[in-house]
Amino acid sequence: MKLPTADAVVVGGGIIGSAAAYYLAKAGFSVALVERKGIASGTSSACADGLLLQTKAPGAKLAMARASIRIYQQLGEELGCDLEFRNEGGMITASNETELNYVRGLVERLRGEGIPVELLSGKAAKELQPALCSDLLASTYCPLDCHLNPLRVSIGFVGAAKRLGASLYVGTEVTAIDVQHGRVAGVLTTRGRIDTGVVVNAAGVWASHIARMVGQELTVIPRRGQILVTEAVRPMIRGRIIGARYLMSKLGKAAPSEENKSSYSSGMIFGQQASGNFIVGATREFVGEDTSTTYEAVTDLAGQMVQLVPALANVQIIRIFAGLRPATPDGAPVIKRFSGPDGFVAAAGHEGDGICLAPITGRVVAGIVSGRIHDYHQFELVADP
Amino acid sequence: MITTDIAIVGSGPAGLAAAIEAATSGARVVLLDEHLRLGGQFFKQVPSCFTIEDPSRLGKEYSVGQEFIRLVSSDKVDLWLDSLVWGVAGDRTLAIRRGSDCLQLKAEKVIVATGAYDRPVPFPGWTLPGVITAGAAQTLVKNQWMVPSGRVLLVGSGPFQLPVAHQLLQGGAKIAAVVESLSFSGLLRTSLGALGRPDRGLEGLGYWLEIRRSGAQFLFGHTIIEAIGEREVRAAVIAAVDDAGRVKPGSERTMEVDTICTAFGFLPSTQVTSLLGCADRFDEEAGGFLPTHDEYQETSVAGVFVAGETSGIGGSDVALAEGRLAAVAAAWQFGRLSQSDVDSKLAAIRPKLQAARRFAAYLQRTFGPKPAAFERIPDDTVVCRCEEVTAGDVRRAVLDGADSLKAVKIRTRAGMGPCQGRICSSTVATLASLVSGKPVEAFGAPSVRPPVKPVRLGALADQAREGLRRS
Repeated sequence: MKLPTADAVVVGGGIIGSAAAYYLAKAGFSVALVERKGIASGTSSACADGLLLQTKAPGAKLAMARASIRIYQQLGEELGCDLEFRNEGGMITASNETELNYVRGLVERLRGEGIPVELLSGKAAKELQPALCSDLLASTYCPLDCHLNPLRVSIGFVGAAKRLGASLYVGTEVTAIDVQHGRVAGVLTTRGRIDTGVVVNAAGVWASHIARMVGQELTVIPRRGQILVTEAVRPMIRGRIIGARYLMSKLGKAAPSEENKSSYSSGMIFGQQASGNFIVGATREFVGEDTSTTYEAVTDLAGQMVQLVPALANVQIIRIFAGLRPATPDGAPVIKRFSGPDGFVAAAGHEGDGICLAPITGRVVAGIVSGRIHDYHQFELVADP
Repeated sequence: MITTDIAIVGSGPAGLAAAIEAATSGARVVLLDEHLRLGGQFFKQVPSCFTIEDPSRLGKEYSVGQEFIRLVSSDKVDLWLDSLVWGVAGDRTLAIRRGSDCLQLKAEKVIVATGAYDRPVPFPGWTLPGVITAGAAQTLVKNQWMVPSGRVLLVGSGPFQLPVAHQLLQGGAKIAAVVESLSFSGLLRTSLGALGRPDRGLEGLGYWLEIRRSGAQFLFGHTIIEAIGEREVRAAVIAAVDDAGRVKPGSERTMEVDTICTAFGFLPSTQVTSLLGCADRFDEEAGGFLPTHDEYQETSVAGVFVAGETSGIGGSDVALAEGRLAAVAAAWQFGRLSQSDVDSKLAAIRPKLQAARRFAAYLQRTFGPKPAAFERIPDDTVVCRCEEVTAGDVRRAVLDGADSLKAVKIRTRAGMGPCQGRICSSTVATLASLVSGKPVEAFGAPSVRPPVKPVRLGALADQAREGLRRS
C-alpha cells in the first residue's frame, strides 16, 4: 500500500522526533512521523525532567542547552499546552571532599562559560532547601536551571505538528529505506511506502538499526537508568538537585571504587514534579535493551535519597522503572546530514540530555533539511527565529 | 536472602489449600500474606484481640476458614504475615516488605494465589463518601464487626450481593434494597446453569428469603445511574435496564439512602504473575488479561504456579481445588511425591475442579458487566481516582490517537497514581474500546511495575545500609 508522499519522514516519536516533526512542519515541509510503538513510549517517558545547564559539558552542548531553555520559556504558549515549565534553579550537592573538589572545578568552568553559578556552604544550601540533610559539605546553585513535564512536551509537539499538517503513523515500524542514485527515495513501513526525499533518524536508542538500513554506521548504545517515583506529597524541594557523584559518573570522573564490572554506577538526580511526586534517579548501566529493574539498584537509590533528604524516609514509593538512554561513544549527540545517501539526517544519541536539547535539536534538523546548515555546531544560525 | 522450597503468595482459599497440601509432602513452605491475619477476603478473620462469643454469627466461612488455618498453623509451614510481595528480584526471588523491613525470598517453586478485588464501575457520584464496594462492606463486617450506617443500598450484578447483604443484616445493618441488573426473567432463563451446583442455588435462595424477611426491597433488571450528595451520599438514582444493560428512558427514580455498596464482580490480582514474567491471555468474562497455565496450574515460567482468582475469577471452590492441584504439582516437580501419590491426589481433585469451573463459567456468562454501563458514564465523571482523570479525558485521548493503555496514561495520567491503574485500567480500556470501536484487548494489558503496592522509601533505604554492612 502507498501512503501519502512527504517532504520529510521522521523516524521515531520520542521527544526528539516530535520536536523535529514540529519544526519541519513549521518551516513549511510536509512531514510524516513514523513511530514503532506510541508517542514518547520509550526513553521520553522514562527519564528525568530537568533542563539543567550545570550538567552539560562546556562547549557546544552547553551552548545548545542555553538556546533550548530560551525556546522552552515560550514553548508552552507556542504549542498551546501547559508544559509545567518551572524556572526554579538547580543545585549540585557535595557530600565529601572529593565531591567538593570536583564541584569547585565545575563552578569555575561554568563561570568561564558565562553561566551564573554560585558555590554555597552546606549551611547556606540547607537554608535554601530546608529538606536537605544537615551534613552536606557544599552545593552549587544555578538560577537558570529549569524543569518541566517531558510527556507534555512530546504530546504538545506532535499535536502542534498535526495542526500544521503533519501525518502521524503510530504503531508503524520502518522496515527499509529506499535509496536510489545515492538519494533517499522512500521509506517502507509496516503500513505501506511513503515517497520522500528526506529521512530524519530520530530513533534514539534504536537509531543504529535505522542507520544500518542505508549502510551508515551510527553508534548509539542503550544505557539503562533506573528511576523511583514517590507518591505525591506537599512541596518539599524547589528546582532540581543533583548529587556530585552522579555528575562525576556522567562526565567521566567517577571514582573507580564506585564502578563495578557491569559498568554500574549511580547517583542522585531528583526533584518534585508539579503533581507533587518525586522523581528519583538514577543508575547508569550498559545492559543492552533490558529495561527491568533490580533490587540492588532500587535499594541503592533509596539509600542515597534518604541520606540526602531524610524526611523522604516516610514517603511511599509508588513506581519503579527503567529507561534506556541513547548514549554515544564521545557523549555528544549526532545531529547532522550524512555524507551519503543524500537526504539522510541523524538526530540521535542525546543520552540524558534529550529533554533539555529537544527544541534546539528540532530547529537544527529543520535548518539542515532546509540546507541552511550542515550540523549542530552551526546551531546559532537557527537559534532565533 | 532467605531460601525455601515452596513460596505461596496469598493466604485465601487457594493459598491455604496449597500450603496444607505442600506441607504434607515434606517440603519447606513459606506462606505469605500482606494482611495481619490468614484467610484472605473469603475466610476473613477478626483481629486476634477480639473475643468471640458466638462464632456462628461470623458466618459459615469464618468457621471453615478457622479449620484451614488450624491445619496450616503447624511447624511445617512458615507463616509470614504483614508481608507484601512488592516485586521480583530475580528468578523465583520475591522482593518483600515484611513489617517495616524489606527482604528477599528465593523459592524453588512459587505459587501465586493473590486473589481478586472488586471491579469498579464508575457512575456520577461514585467517589462520594458513602459509596463503597461490597468487598469493603464485607471487610468491615467480617473483620471489624462494623456495618455501614443508615439505609444501605446494594447494587450491582451477581450472586455476591446475597451473602454480603446477609452478613450486613447479621451485623445489624438496615438494607433498603438490593438492586440486580439482571432481570428476573433473565435469571430464570439462565438458572439451568445453577443446577450443576444445587447446594449453591439453595444457599442463595436462603439468603434471598432472609433478606426479603428483613423488609429490604429486591429489584431485578435495575441498576444505579447516579449517587447524589454534596459531602456524602444522601440518595441514589436507579433505573430499569434492558438485557443489554441500557437504561429504559423514564424509569429513573431517586431512593434516599446513606450508603451504597457496589458489587459489579471482581478483577484478578495479576500483578505478581506479570512481574514474574508469566505469559498472559485475554478472557474478558474471567477478568481480562490472565496468566496462562497448564493442567497443573504451572504458568509459562517454569516453577511458577497460579491458583484461585488470579488465574481467572472462579470463586472459592475453584480456588481450593486449584490451590491443592498447584501444590501437588510443585511437590511432584520437587521430587517429594511418587507418581502413584500424584495420580491418586489428582483423581480426587480434578472432578471437583471441573464442576466448580463449569459453575463459575455460568456465573461469568450470566452476570458479567455490560458495555452500556460504561457507555453512559458522563464525560465529567472521574474514572482514575488517583489522578482525577475523567471519562472525557480518556475519550478525548483515544480520539486524539492514543491506541494503548500506555498511550492514554502518557496523555492523561490515568493509571499513574499510587494504585498504578488497578482501579481504573479496566474502565479505561472499556471506554477506549467503545469510543474507538476496537476490542478491549487491543489496548493491551496494563503495564505492571514494582512496587505492587506502595513501599516506604526508608524501608528500602535500610536495605542499602544492610548491603553495605555485609560487603
